[in-house]
Amino acid sequence: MKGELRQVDGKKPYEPPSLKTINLRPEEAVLGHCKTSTGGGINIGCQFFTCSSVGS
Amino acid sequence: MEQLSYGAFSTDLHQRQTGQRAPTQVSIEVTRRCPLECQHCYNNLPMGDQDARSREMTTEEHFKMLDELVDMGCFWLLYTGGEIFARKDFLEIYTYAKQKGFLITLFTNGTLINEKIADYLVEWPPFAIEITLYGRTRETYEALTMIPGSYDRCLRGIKLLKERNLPLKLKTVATSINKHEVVAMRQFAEEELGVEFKIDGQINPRIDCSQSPLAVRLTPEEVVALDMHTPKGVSEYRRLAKHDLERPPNLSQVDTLYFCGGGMESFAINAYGEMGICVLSQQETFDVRQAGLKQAWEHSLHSVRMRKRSRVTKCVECRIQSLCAMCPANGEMENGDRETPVSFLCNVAHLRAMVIEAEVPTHGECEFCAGGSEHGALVESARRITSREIDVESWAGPQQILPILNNVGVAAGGCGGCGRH
Repeated sequence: MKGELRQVDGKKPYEPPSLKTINLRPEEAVLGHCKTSTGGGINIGCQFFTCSSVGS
Repeated sequence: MEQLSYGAFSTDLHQRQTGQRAPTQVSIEVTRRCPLECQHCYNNLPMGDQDARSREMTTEEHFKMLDELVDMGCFWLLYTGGEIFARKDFLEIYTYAKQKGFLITLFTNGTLINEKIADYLVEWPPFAIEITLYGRTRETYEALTMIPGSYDRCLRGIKLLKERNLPLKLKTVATSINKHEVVAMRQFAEEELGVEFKIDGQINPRIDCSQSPLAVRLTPEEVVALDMHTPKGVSEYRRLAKHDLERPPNLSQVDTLYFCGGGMESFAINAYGEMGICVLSQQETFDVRQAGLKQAWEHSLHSVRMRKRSRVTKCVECRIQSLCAMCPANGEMENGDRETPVSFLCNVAHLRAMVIEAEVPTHGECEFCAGGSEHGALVESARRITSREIDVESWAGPQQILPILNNVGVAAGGCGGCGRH
């Protein structure tokens, strides 16, 4: 059927791309900066893969 | 059109990247020169340092690097210093980066921001601007920055950005010189200005090996008293400790020397065109001016990031790693060795755990654990913090500025002992 998405051979069905708008709000940054507090407002430095040199 | 919050977008992007080595974030140090002479700073150089200036990357080299960063898939970009606005061409570099579509954060002390710069940033807004405030009074601010007039210039910069509704955040580095004004600085930021405020109690030696910043470092007891000053701080540390204690020690699950996002999803470029794991870890850096970023990322930095640790230290089995700032960069700066545990950080982590009543299972020979040589002092420090005998709100200013310790024989600009200065 036209427009219907079906899973074929176990592959992930095709999803047409969609446009989304993102409001850039730095207070929602997931990771903090090196030399400053990390998420949650505490200061524990770089830890594992939550380390980020750039607030992102 | 469908809306997506920035938090959800960023979380999704980071989750997709988990375990993969792809550079989405880069810190670029445009200069180490700065108009301030802060006693705690890890890399500042005088504004008039002609040698430093002559070695800095040119405007064109910055443009070329930004082109390469786009090709590599970098997305988040941090411009830091020194002082970024110490470079006359900074806005030119910044604009080129904006036109490339990076999400840019600026670190600045704010003292060189004038109306022209503020207006320009309205036209080309960054994702975030973070200004470090060094005191709430002129006397304290300038005792740390050592530059008369710098307090007023910083406040002017803050005012200009705030008036224009730019995405401003304030932060401070708590030191023995300004600790008594940290609460007032927080009130100023959050209540008077309505902006986010962060406190960093961590001070490192300088990247040129000088230990001079440690002369103004808070004691572990003071660091933890400040951490636990707000209910939010206490609850956040409890959450982290719970997370750590419910899982196997993180470091025991990896065998590489580095265990952070540095070299995996991020890297740093210093003012002289050298790539490193992060802005602090500067013992091994790679010239990208000739070889190019991609080559340095895929080969040189890759080999550093994948290097195996050489021994099992007490950190490997530690169960409070999330409370501790120990990392190879801190080891490198404080001990000259990336693996040797930094005693100061270990002390802070154990004190945090004790104050929030988190049990710390034994993890090798640790002087701060039960039975260790420093455990008694730790218990006494925890008592002073929880009983509010140490009260952040009643901290007084320093009687006098103490002489710089641990700096005997250190030539200006470095140690002369590690072969790099």
